[in-house]
Amino acid sequence: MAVVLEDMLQTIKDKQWALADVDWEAPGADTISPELWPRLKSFMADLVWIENIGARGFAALAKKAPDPTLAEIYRYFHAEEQKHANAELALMRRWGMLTDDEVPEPNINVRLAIEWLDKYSDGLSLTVLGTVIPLLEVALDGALLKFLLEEVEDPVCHEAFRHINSDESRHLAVDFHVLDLMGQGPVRRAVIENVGTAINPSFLLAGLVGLGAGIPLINRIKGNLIGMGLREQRLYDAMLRFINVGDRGDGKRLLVYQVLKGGAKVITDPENRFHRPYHVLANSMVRASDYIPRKWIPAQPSWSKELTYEATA
Amino acid sequence: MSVVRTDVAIIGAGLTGLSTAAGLKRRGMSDFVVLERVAMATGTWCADTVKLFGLGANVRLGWEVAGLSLDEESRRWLVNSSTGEQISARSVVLATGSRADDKPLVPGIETYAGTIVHGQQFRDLDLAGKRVAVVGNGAATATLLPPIVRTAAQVKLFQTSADWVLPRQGDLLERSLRRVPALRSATRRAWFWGRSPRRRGLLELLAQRNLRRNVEDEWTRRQLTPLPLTDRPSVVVADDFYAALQAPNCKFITWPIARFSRDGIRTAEGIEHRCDVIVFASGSADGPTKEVAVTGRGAVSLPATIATTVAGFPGLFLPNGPDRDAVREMRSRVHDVVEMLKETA
Repeated sequence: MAVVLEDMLQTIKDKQWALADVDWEAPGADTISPELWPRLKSFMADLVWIENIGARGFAALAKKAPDPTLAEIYRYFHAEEQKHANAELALMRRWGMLTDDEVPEPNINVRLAIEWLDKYSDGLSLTVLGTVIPLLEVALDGALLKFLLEEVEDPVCHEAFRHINSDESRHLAVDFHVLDLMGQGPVRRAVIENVGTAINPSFLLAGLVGLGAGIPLINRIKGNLIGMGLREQRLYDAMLRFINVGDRGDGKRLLVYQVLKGGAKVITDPENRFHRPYHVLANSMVRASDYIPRKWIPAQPSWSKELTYEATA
Repeated sequence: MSVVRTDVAIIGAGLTGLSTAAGLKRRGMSDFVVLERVAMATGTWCADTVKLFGLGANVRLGWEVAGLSLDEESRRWLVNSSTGEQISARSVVLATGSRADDKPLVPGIETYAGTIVHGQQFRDLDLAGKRVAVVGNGAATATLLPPIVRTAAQVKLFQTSADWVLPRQGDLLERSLRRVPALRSATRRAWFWGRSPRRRGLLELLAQRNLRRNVEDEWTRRQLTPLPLTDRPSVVVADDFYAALQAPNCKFITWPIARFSRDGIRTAEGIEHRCDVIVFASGSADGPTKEVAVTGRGAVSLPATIATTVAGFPGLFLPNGPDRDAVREMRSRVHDVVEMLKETA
């Protein structure tokens, strides 16, 4: 998957679309059945926030990019993830899912993830960010979006997601290109990179807190998805795709990649001896997080309050 | 009318012209004039720069160049103003802006139905009650944002790469630091040339402190912190920029601009920002570059070129490169021109 970053940046610029390009009032909103509606509502709310979290991840990457072209690409990706969240909000509004036209409240696990990103993401290295983000994107792209399009017939939804999927294909191409680049070079470079990652105290702290926020988030979303009729296996297939594509490049020499790969296996493979204990733990973390008093959580950072369904401002 | 004689005539008092002038002064040359067709408002970066480098005696404001021609006998250039004044110069530096085609940087500008102005031209408009989009960064933006925010109903500043901002009146620590000659010259260098990638100097630490003191919101601060990789001159001196930026009627937008539309600006987060007026702050401070008629040896007109010197035009220097935004490139070209002028002096 050879990617020339300069060409990629030009393609990204050429393919820009706006919410105003989609007619959100076009017929078809009534194709959502009353049975699907409540489940779709919580699914979409999760999706909006996952996009917003992804956006923040790209913002962190833009600061870490080793060259200006890649930094510029990440700035666009940051904006595009925000655009996806905005477009998904516009769909929710179209389907009458926004109470008082307001942005849905993030659930407790999303809130914790937002806090974690706000506090730690800018401190993480390119290696860590560049490995974690492709996993999230593959899961999103491979499972959630495809599933959504199978369940929903609304032509406007399909039109919006044609744009979104086209953007995501470029995100993935760059993600895996960078993952491959990061693992390249002589062995000693890989060793230095891995030792550096492992002994970096800020990574250890960020990692621990991140697991505390991330594990229940993933399981809560998984729970919501299953509630909507998604087979668990779909999500797992998507995560395995991350391993399949990742293993083809030099990114596999990275410690973070190996840790994530191991984690993905534990989560997805029922035969794995840690599979059951992991999910018992993760599900209890989901339940426990419901008891966290909201006032313990600091005020929502301003970047997470910029979402809008309005095509014009 | 008598002809004023000078060694070097620099046409244009923009970033390139003033950089060349400052370079000449630093190399010990003083017999030069800088010709600028418009007056400079006080408090603009141009006026600041003239003051900082002591160029006041060299700069002629309101001097509009109508054309210049080579006198083949004396091998001197004759610069004519639109009011009939004449300057005879051994060398001429044509610093009237980029010679790139004035193609829009972002697509769709031709579809925009509102008013477009450049730099200080906004002063000719009545902005009361208007929605204004300011596009750009650098000293020009920091200078013009506050007066626009004071008059317009709603202002959006579109800026994808931020600059470090130093207060004009620093506190005691900053003032005394600025008295140190080495730091002062660092200020000058940073002001014009930006910095090396990945190096955060003392100046930037001061700027960071200024940012922390003036902007409370953490995310806004992050957006106002320049990336280590930007190659613009990334330190500007401005007092009320941060205050204007955070005014209730001003919104700071860092999303990349995707395209212009009939009603405004579409950014990459998918939203169309509607506005009545677009002010391009960067680029030439006074609207599109004015063509100056140049006649060389054998009455030949200056061809379109991206070169620094052209055969048949001895003593004429063109420091503006093909790219209107390439400050770093401009820097090396100005350096070359100053060296050549020094050698021929």
